[in-house]
Amino acid sequence: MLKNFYCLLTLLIVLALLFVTLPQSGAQSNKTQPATAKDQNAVPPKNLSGTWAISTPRNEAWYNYALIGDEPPMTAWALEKFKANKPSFGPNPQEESNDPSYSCLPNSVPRVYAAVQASMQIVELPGRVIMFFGRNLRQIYTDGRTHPPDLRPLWMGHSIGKWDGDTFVVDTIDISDVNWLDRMGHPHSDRLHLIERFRRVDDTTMQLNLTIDDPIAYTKTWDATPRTFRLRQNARAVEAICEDMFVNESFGIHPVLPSMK
Amino acid sequence: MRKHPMYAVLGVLLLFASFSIALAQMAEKSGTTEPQKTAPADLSGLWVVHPPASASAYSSFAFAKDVPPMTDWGEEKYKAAKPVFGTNKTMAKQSNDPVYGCFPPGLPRIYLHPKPIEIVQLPDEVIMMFEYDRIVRHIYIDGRPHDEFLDPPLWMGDSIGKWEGDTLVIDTIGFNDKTWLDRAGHPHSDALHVVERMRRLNHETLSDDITIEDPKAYTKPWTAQTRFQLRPDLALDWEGVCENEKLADRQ
Repeated sequence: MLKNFYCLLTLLIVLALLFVTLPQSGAQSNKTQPATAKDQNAVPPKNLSGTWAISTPRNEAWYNYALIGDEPPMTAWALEKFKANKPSFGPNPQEESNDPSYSCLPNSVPRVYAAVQASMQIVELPGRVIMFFGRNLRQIYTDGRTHPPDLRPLWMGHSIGKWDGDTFVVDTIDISDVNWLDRMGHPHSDRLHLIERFRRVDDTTMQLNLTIDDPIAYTKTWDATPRTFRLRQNARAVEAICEDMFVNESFGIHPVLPSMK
Repeated sequence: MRKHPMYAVLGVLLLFASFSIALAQMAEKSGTTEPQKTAPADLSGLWVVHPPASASAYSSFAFAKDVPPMTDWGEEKYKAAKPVFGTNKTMAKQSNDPVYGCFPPGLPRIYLHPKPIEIVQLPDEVIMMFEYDRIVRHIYIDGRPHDEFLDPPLWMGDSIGKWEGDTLVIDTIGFNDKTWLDRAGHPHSDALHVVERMRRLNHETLSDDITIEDPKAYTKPWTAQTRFQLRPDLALDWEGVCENEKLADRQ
């Protein structure tokens, strides 16, 4: 009889151990299997949500600052501005730069795409998409509204977006002309009309094509060098505080350019 | 033979114990591996700070009527601060308030600036967008730990959160010591630990119970409370830039 009870006890312990281990292995296999099945399928094309990092082509140092391949044809207005701008990037970097970003004025579009350090988070919500570039954020309305007729210039402009097949097309106007088009000092006017086309190429890659239409600054519409972004898993937002670099102890700010009125 | 009942009891106990361990592990697993599809509460919306009327005498610049108990280190820092509010107030021109240098206001001070706050709730994080100084807080609720490799430390700290019932408990550490806790110049060190319990009291009201723990600056933890009112009639204005306003003043 005693032996039987030992047997029963052993059986109970084995059963108990099974209860402990089974749910774990079950949970693990449940967790891994659908994930791999999902990887094989194409990512839903109409989803841009997540944190993205600009992917630099190998040996392409210019990608850090340039949005431009061939020099776009500037108007006389733009040439004058371009000559007055003293960028710290490009073929002739200046030590005494008057880059508005060094006064901690916000980067506007499309300049936000001209920095490899930039990490961008896209949040899709009903009726709008929010894009975070650190403290610079922009909202793209997807509720069918049009651009309002009487806008003052905005740091990030006024943006409306819609899906065209697998491409999210963003139309932006009323971008403040205080900041530059890129880090090389190319100017733009507040008549800049920017078209962005976001498309997911695969599971982890997104491509962005930019069309710049600014009749005051450029004699024809031109396309910037396409940007490629890679999806970052479990990314953490970076607290990029410009003042850490450009504001001194006595609170003096680097005086660069007139403000936006 | 006399031992039989004891073995049976022992066996049954073991079985129960293993059951509860397994259940606990299952609960833990579902909590950490899969972000909750439906959060227990929805804090999203556009909010404006709305402290209770009983705090109206000081609510624009401090969380508490009385000065919290400071350490010697804290006292010294408090004396060096030249705020434009509170018992040590001075004129704006003489002030060394960090926000006058366009530096971020820090936490919980940011709640003393009455500008709209938009909360967006996602499965893995709660994002708080403060119109004041264009500050964005990302509060990760996906079970990740604090970032241990913060160098330099942060102006607004490193925030993680979890749901306790319908309350979002936000734990923030990793601060630098360059900001003030309020607009009256109360200091904090880099050991500051802020715990917030954020809960929707009703559809229109959000409450935030704040515990401030900083053994370098204060002799004991102290608490603060603030409330927010839902303002769907407002929209977030992200155009105000501190440096731009300073440059405009100069012209």
